[in-house]
Amino acid sequence: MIAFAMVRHRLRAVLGGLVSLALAVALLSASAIVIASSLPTVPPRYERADVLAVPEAAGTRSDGVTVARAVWTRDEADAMAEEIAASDGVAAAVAERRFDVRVMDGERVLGDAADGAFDGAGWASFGLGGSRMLDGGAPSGADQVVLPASYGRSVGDRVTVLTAGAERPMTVSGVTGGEDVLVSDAVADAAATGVSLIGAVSAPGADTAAAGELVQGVLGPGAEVFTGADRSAMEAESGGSGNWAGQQLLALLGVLAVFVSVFAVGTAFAFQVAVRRRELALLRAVGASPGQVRRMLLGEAALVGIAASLAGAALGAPGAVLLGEWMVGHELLSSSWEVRSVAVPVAVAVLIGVATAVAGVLGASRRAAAVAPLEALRPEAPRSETVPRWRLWAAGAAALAGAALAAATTRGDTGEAIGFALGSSLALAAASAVAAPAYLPRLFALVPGRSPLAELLRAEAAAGARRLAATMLPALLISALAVTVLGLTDTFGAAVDEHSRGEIPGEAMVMGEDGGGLTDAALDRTREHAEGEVFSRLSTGVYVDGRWVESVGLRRDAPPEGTVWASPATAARFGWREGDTVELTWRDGTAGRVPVTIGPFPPELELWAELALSHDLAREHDPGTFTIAAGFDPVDAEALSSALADQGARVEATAQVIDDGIAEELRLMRMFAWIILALSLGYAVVSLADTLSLATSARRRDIALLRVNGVHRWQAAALPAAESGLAAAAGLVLGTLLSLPGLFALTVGLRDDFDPRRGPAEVSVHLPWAELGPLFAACLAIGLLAALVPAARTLRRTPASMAAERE
Amino acid sequence: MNTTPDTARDAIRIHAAVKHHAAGARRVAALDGASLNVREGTFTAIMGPSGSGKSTLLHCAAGLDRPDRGSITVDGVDLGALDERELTEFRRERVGFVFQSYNLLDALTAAQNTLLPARLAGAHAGRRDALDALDLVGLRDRADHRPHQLSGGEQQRVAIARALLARPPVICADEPTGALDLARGRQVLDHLRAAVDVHGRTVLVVTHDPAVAARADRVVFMADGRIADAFGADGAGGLTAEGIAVRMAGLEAT
Repeated sequence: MIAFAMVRHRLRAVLGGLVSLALAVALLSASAIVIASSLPTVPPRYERADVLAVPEAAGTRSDGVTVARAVWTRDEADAMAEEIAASDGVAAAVAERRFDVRVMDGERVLGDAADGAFDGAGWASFGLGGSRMLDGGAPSGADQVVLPASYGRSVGDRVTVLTAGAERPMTVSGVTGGEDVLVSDAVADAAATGVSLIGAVSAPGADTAAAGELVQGVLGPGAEVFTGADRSAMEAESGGSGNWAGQQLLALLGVLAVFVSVFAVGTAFAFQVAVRRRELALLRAVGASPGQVRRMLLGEAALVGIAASLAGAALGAPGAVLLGEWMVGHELLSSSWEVRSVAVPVAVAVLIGVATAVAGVLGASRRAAAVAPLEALRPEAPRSETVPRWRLWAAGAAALAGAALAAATTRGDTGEAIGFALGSSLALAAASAVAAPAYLPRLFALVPGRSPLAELLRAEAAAGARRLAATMLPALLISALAVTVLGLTDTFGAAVDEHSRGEIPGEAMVMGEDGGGLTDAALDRTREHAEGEVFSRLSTGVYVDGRWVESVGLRRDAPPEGTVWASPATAARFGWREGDTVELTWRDGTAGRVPVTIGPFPPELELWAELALSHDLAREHDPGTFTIAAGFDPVDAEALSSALADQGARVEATAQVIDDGIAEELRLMRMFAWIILALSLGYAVVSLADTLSLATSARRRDIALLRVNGVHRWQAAALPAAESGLAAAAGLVLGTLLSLPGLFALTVGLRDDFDPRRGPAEVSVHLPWAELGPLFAACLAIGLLAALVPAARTLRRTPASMAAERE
Repeated sequence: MNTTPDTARDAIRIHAAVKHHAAGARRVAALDGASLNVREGTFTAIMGPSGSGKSTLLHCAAGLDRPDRGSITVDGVDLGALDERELTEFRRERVGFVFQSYNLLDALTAAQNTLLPARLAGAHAGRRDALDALDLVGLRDRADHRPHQLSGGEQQRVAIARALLARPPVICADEPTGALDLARGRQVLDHLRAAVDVHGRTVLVVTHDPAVAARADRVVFMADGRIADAFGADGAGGLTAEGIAVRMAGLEAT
């Protein structure tokens, strides 16, 4: 009853917390809906397969994320698939052959390159998928192909089907609603590297779990078997929706939303407790126990939390559609994304909203419970604003963490260093925010001037340290975030821009028109038009003792035919010595023995592979994979361009490719940065407006007194404005200064991240003042306005009516 | 809580209470060995110059504050033996309060404010009890008004209704008429007097106003944290405002 009456009565006072929490929950539920709707599902191409089996994991690819699996030889896989198919309760089993494919209509690449789903497979795979045959039928013979409808061809059309090693003119025999290019199983067997998946369809009415166990039994412990919803694990591996940047963005939004709601509600209620001390004391005096006061505040927070969360949830669903469409537009989500799941993510967001509201008020409620009943009897209890010791300890700990993170920044690799630098700035900002009540009054004591207003400003600052700290916090947070994030982006971008050239050998590059790779024919034609050997990479792998070894097939710098070249790290890993003949398993599952040479890899290979072999040797054991790209010095680029057209490949200036790559990476980083900043600015507006309007109403009596004593209206308004403006300026300067250690540490950390043949790179800090300037100006303006608006509202009344007003 | 028979006739026993306040670096003795016994069913006024310790004495007697030394027994309960929770429960069950101002929570209506201590105690008090209590102070028709819709005197009377509702043996009031005009102040005093005469409560009032003290059974003067003088026969009355003013002026002159 009391909590409800209080919330209703104090609605205006809790409004700030309510609005920020509602917005945070809206953001949270929108991101949660988008996340839940982009969770992996069973890929359409395996929809009808009740059981999916893959070899066990053997390691990860060079990106450090993608799982590299062991391999079955074709005979092995076919024998197992046959045994499964012959079992009771299984209608069909397929040992799938997949390979890189590109379908050409003359010099035009067919299909939609947006999701990079260029996957060729044998006709048998059609039985595993859920898509329908729209027209025509199965490919018969080596010169027929079934295409997805999105390729825009009809039955009977002629197309050219390119695989890594072959070029086949074919006739379209059928059109499906799926995504795969399907050829006859014999052609697929020749084009594919090996069998990476066995799928089984159980007989009608048969138990899929039993079928799963049966498959596991046939394949043995060296296989992973998925049934039911677990089959969605295959989506990540088939490269459908794994959009790293999009996932990062959504996670970031979620974390920010939680952060904002905890802080918004926490500060709103902390301030409430300060303003309502007398009321709480009165409650204590008439017999409310400390526990009852604490529970009342928690009840209020829960009420506010529920109201705000429900409002936020209502905004979340339309927000998710907007967010999802925006992300699809920026290629951060697969173009097939749609809202699939609403109830669960919204429920989770509401729960988190209520929980953060209650968590944010925990500290405040403890302080409220400690209010002494006698404080009700003091009209304006001038509480001594001593800074509790824990604040200094916490500030010290955060500052130490910041320094440690800055130190770590100088040592980590690029990805880690950026994270550490950001962490360092935030930790230092947190330290200065926590310690603010201790030093801000001292800072304000430095304000010069003998006018009564200056004197008043200094005195008010000394008496209201916590108010000053709350006023400074948003500006501090924003400047720390802005300088760090934008500074990181620009510093990193400038460093990459200056030092990345020359990492890809050659003036020109040949790459796939559609973002895919190169056929062998394209590579051979490039060699004919190149001066010297072409630098090309066929990304593949071998297995040593069952473990994945990331490998690359080379033209230039290739080791002698029939041998492999190991980096010293790889040699050390397996105990190889120069000249040893080692046993390994090729990518296609066959066993081999090759002599090994050991030597350091050049930087352009170091990132990509642990083992190098000649292109031809790599191709012999991995016929299904396109070569990534080729760098070279062209003899006649024009002639080469026309020679490559029917292979779906084109020539680009290397510098241009690097520029585009950097621009794309920076575009993403900048977009993230601005999303963070826009959210923080929104938070700053709500939180400052809230703090200052509460502070102004709490000081209404003082203002009245000033007016009674002859202070002009503009002077009475100038006082809070000056205070808020100075606090915001202090926050901006502090945030900027505290971001610098992380940024400088990053320049040190980046020094060794570029081509070591040219020695340590010179990296300097770059700050985008063109963007920071307006942002800082906006912060100051928000600070001034947030102080002026409530002051002006208060000053509209006559001094007498203000002074006479009861509390 | 122990109730001992020998204290039964004294509603409040304060023995050698000492209380220091920290004022900046200095320590100020608000109570310096004050002792006072208040008989059950009487109206006692505490007077004295500013800083004489009268409010501190009242707060200690009401369980709002604790003395540094000395003992306080109210309604047979030794307050020194209670922890914070027990002290809170003691307050809401055995003491009613009326302050000079700021008695009521703005968020609650007059009736809700009246019921607050009982509700906090988890008692089965309902709207009818609130209306009965408000009836005693002549405010039944204002039950659903919020404090800002009531005059200062009406607010004080709501506070008295609140103090009466839980039927506490002791009612403490700190300058209950300080913010009121004469007529309204008299009304408030009438209700406090009735609490003693009709309901048999013990009332302890801190005041500057000789006219308020004149309605008491007994007047206690404080100076420098001790009881300096006391007069008026228990239950007899017969004090005049003039007599009190003269006597107080004489005390302050010494």
